[in-house]
Amino acid sequence: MKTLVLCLALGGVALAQQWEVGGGGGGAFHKNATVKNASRSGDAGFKIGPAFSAFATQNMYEHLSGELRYTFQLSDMKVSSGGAEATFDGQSHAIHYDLLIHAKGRSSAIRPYVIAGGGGKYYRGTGKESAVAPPNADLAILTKTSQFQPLIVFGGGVRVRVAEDVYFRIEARDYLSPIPKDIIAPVPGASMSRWVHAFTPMVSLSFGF
Amino acid sequence: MRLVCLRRASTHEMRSRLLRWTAAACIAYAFLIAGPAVAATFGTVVPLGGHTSDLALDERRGVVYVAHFTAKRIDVVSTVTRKSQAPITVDKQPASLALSPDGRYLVVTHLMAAEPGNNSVTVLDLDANTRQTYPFTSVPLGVAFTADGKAFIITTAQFIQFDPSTGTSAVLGDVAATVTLPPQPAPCEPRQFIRASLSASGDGTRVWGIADADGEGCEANESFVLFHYTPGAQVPLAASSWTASPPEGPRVIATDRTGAFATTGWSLFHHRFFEVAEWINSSGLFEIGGYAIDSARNKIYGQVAKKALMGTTIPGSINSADGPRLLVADSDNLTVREELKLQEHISGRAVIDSRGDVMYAVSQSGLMILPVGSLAAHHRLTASQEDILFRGNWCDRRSMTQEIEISNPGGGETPFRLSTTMPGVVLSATSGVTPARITVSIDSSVYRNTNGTAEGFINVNSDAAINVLPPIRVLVNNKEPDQRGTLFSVPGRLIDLQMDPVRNRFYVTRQDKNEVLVFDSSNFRQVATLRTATTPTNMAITRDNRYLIVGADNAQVANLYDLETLGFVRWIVFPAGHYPRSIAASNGSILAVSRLAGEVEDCSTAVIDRIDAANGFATPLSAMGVWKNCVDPNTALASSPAGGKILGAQPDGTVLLYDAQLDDFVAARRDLEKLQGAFGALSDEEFVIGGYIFNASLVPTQAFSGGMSETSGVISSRWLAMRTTGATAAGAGHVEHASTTDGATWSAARLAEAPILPDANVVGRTFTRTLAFTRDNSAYVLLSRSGLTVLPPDYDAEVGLPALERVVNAADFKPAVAPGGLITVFGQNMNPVNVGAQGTPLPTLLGDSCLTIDGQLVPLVFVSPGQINGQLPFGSSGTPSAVLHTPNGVSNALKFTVQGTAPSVFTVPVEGWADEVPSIVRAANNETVTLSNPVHFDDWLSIYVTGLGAVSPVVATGAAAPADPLAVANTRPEVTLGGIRLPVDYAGLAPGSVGVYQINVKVPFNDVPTGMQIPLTIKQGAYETTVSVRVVR
Repeated sequence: MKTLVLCLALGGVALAQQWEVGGGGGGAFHKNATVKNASRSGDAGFKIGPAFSAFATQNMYEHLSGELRYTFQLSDMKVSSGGAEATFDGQSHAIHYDLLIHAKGRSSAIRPYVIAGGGGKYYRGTGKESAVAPPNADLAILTKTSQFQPLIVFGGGVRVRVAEDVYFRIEARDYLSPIPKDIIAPVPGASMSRWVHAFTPMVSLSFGF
Repeated sequence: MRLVCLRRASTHEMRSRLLRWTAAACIAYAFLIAGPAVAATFGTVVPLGGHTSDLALDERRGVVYVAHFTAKRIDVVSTVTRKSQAPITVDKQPASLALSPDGRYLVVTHLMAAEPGNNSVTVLDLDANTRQTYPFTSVPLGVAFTADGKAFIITTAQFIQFDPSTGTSAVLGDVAATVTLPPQPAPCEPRQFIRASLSASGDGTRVWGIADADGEGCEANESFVLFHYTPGAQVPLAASSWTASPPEGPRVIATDRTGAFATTGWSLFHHRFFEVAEWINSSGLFEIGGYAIDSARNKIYGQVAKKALMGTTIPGSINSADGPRLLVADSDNLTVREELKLQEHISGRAVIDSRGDVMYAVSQSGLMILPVGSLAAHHRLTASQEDILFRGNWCDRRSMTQEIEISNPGGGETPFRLSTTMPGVVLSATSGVTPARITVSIDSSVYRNTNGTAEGFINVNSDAAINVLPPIRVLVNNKEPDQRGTLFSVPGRLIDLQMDPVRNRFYVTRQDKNEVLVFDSSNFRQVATLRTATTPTNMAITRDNRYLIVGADNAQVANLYDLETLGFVRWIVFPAGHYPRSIAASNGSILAVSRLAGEVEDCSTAVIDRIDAANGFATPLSAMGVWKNCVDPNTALASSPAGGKILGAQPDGTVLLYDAQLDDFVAARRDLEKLQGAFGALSDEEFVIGGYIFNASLVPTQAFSGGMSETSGVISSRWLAMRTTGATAAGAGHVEHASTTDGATWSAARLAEAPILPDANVVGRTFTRTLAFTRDNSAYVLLSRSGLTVLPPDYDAEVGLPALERVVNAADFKPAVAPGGLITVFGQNMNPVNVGAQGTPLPTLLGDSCLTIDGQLVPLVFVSPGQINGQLPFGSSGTPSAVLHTPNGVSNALKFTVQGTAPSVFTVPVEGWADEVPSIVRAANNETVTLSNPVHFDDWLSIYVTGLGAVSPVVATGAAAPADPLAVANTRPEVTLGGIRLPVDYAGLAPGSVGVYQINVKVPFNDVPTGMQIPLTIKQGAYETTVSVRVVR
């Protein structure tokens, strides 16, 4: 029911504003959390992985747009310390609404912009569980489960018109979320810093209508 | 193919053999008409009324073609009805035959060729129903097809490739040019082959053959030529000449699917013409026996005439001593796994169908059909144990009982009889029908004065069973408290003992099964088995401690194993006729004493070979220093611990010393008339053989004191020598410290049973290496009559009375215990060494200890000096007393409290985790719950506990829990996870185990708290226990 209401609202606005839809791909580079116990510390988070995104943009004003975006990141999880690394298959699904503040007006062929937004990120550990202790099991354990976390997005980019109603974008976002501690779980006696950043540069193509 | 009677040069011999066959047939016929055989036999004999010489299987048409030599015809026997169909007559006596791979051509060779012009081959086109006879210039002796559709024919003078579709022949080689015929005594000059047998591999890529050479003035000899033909190979024809004693009979050959191996006579050959295994106790008779190799199952089905038949007037008589037997052997080392009774002897070629279901063999009456693939459908017998070892029970010396199970491997009902002449042995039944459990009871009063272990046998017989079951060995040890050592039953003929210098393992050669047994030296359990060549003797570990080399008395190879992986690495191939018996590895060379099959450079006994382990071969030393390389075949070699020297000891008193630095022999002397028994190089300067000590020059300097004539083992233990000696009037044997300085001995203790002693009739036992010290210095191990005897390092120390301190449950070591649960008793001076029980029902005497609770015997799981685990009898209640009985005496009576139920979760070690974790298994991946394998919503869990108390139906204390019906706990436990109650699907004994219970629960789909340490609580009756587990969604 909530979804239906949102669609209707967007549909209503669309009558008066220009829209873009598009998709793109890139990579996710993470600034991971620090995990430590009484005797040592390590890195806990995600490895570099590909990212894919789809979005719908509403050009609301001359210098302001709103964008609903879905981003899929295929990043394995890891806990590394002292040359040993535990890894585990993982992925995340982010859905967020961003505001894009453009430096130039709608009619410009090249429109730099900055991004700020928020949403949620659904993390999933998808690896194979084993009773055997993985490396760095005294710091954190990577787990086959899922967890939803709030998401803050910052970034910037530039949109280039490459043809009538066709745009090419280069942009970078920082997906900032609390680290999913059900999935990357510090063991009793260990503690972990709170946030994980996923810097995600992407290129995309969008179509206006 | 059987051609022996038709030697071109000896028609007299042929007639003689025909007469013998006729006589045998008459006797067999008379026996058959006199009445039916009493005992069951395996297979069906199709009498064909004469002498058959070869066969070929035509699976497409469902028939077997049998060359009926005397009737000049090819008999056709249906594989379905097993009856003869219309035969195919041929003009001359058919000697051998082969069917082309496409089944079209049946090629028949004719042998009655005394006159020129009679040499011929007949090609029967089975599709076109035509025939054509082709003359040959020399007598065709054998035929086999290769995959290209061409027939390979061996004649008296040539190897020929023959195309049956065109009748054209191509000479592959002349015998004289291809083969160096074996030398013969003058005036014999071998000139040609006189008989041969061929066998094509299953894939048709190779044909193997064995042939005899003959010439004017030659008598029957022990020489033969082995060859194989591989079309398309760089050297298609390869041959090797041999002599053998006894002769390599039967003179029939069989190869495997790829032609890599072939067996003929009593040998198994590799395609590079070295012998890898032998059929044991073969007489070498040419006329009896045959083989078929089932490569898919790694089995060889075969018969060889045993030595007992050598003197039989009529070979193969149905009345012969042990009757005809089909041996089911492993295809790599010819270890016989089963003996099946046959109606009559196999007497030539045997083949097996493509599915490995049915074997067809030329037999005395014609054709024998053996359904080897359906043995399970026949009455057979097997026993659950090879040996039964009874040990004096300190708690109850009146009688001892054990159970054996007699069963049919195929699952059917087979009647059997049991008998024994061993005094004091009572069987619960002397006959029965499989499956049957027989209780064997010993009246220990009969063996009260036995100085060690008495031995006897239980014979298992059956007229209905087609197999012959070896007798079950019964060993009774009723040692006195001062007799030291814990016995471990290890069946078989044990020869050599080697301790691994860097791993907690030791190795024992078991000669009768062609194995090296690998034991864990911390608990003396066998952990692996290495397959060896035939009749393994002595072992050596390479100086890098990486490899084990095992010699064999009936193979011309030694086996090399990687001790890291316990995998076979390669054969070490010895020169033809060299059988490696004793091996020693030094810092210089690895040497082996090789028994010789014939005379080599004026030596006919044995030589020293140098082993190149990396490249897998051995070569004889040109000389042993200044001495000729010729030694006694029973010479034993032992390297010093530092690897600087190798000691050689010969039964005639000669001793040899090899210096690794000089890589040569530096001493050989004979100061004593005879040597045997224990031998060892205790250092580079001190050596012990039998009762004598030798110095660095091998001069005997001292004899050990004590007057004990027989010695078994000697080692350098810490700063002393240890040795074991044989039985005397005072006991079964002794273990004692010994000084290599003055020969003094002290701290002698009587052994529980006699160590293995020198035996000139057993290969590898003239000199004995039966004593070793574990790598962790925790125990002495010695080979003894019933297997292993283990002694603590301080075997001679005064040991106080056993003292019990507390009784707890074996799961979490808390005081709560319940009937039927596993308990742990902590204390001091308990069992001298660590011993774990093997199998169920659990023994009530383990190691040297037995435990009673209010006088009731406790089945034991594990015993050690400080801890004993066992099962609390189901009938226990209240505050009973535990009492431990050991050789050192009886402990205090320790009172403890038994609850009705006391669930306690076992903990188990899991790789990588510092602490043990609760034994809770997720059904999703069948792995233990840990932080990295947490409980998920909707999981099924199995929780392993003890202390759930009484069960229904009742299970005997010490017995394994049944799987059907399950033994359910009378009081159902409640299980909660994070306070949420989990549905219990099952709570009762875990099937197959003793004292271990299993609770199966289901985790709900939601509403269970998640976290790293969620409490899982089991409550049963008034008692509850809690462990923590990680739970995630």
